[in-house]
Amino acid sequence: MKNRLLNIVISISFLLLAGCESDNFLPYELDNENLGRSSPDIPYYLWTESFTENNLGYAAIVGGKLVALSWDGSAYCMRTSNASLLWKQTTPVSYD
Amino acid sequence: MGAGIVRNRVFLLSDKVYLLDMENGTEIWSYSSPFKNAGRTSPVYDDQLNRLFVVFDKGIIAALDFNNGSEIWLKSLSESPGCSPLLSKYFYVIAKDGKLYAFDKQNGNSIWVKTLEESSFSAGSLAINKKYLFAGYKKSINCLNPENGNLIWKSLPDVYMEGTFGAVDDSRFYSISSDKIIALDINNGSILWVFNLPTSNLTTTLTLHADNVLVNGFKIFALKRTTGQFVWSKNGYAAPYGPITVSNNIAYFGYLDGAGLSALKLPGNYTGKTWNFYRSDLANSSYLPE
Repeated sequence: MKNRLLNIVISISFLLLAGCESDNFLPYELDNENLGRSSPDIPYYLWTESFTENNLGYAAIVGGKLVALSWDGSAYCMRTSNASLLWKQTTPVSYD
Repeated sequence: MGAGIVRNRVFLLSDKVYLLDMENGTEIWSYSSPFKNAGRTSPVYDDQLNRLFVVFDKGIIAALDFNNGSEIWLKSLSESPGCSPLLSKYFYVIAKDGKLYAFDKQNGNSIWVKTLEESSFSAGSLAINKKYLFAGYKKSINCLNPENGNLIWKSLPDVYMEGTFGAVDDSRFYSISSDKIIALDINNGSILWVFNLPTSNLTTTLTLHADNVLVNGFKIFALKRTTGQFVWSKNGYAAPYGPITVSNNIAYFGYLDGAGLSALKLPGNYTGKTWNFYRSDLANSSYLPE
């Protein structure tokens, strides 16, 4: 019973949070991400790739290859067409 | 930390400066600061001199030969760097004490120094176009003559500039802070529009692409450059993180918490240059606005 109550409370919290986000962020009627990729006016994802548990920051692109840096000092090189990983190089990094 | 790509070489700065082979990632050379301190800024590359310029955490600037990493000159700032450096006719960087420096790229001689604000320990941002140098620092945005550092105008929008990013085109200077995006007239600093972000977000950056300002907050979204009007938004798979890099009308960006990297096809068929935050664009001459 306690668990059910907890679930209900959590669900309501999420609903409230979701409502807050819609109200607070971009105008709902203009928030057009659900319109799909049929419209030329809407961006769509080509790929999303996850190959590190660290945050990826800067990325540079030349000749169909992308180099991204993560905050553990690693550099990842991948093809921009399909995100296939070409190599990874780790450099030591220390944070004061 | 920052990195870039020049002629099939990848340069990056972490505890040391590294040059890697783009083909396989192997190290070609590395360079340590003489004071053994690391760097959190992005190195910049000069095509004419074939040099890499690096600013380390303690304010040490090193100009390195790109081919072999040998040190050409060293200079010191009064304080740690407050932002990544900017390369144009001169080498520009803001120190955390509010001093903006212009150095001769050839020999490291000081061209001019301008104190933006008498204060300590803050971060700033730099941007340049064909006419002006823009320096955001604490609560001020400063428009300067890049030749001599003379102040052209100073704007004090209700924006705290720490941890911000600036971009500029031929008409407007755009700045993003933790809670809003503003566009200023580059000729007089008057505020043209303000877009309030719904929630404080420390990882926001902006990029100028086609007619839009692209922003990564906890969504990716686009505003019209001219009016600040909302154009579109797209949810990420997690909270977007770091700068957006655009190439061939595709935006690439990472996420917080190791959620990876995405490629987002942007609307339209824009083929012109993009004002990318990322410094590697200087190397292929698309860093300056189209």
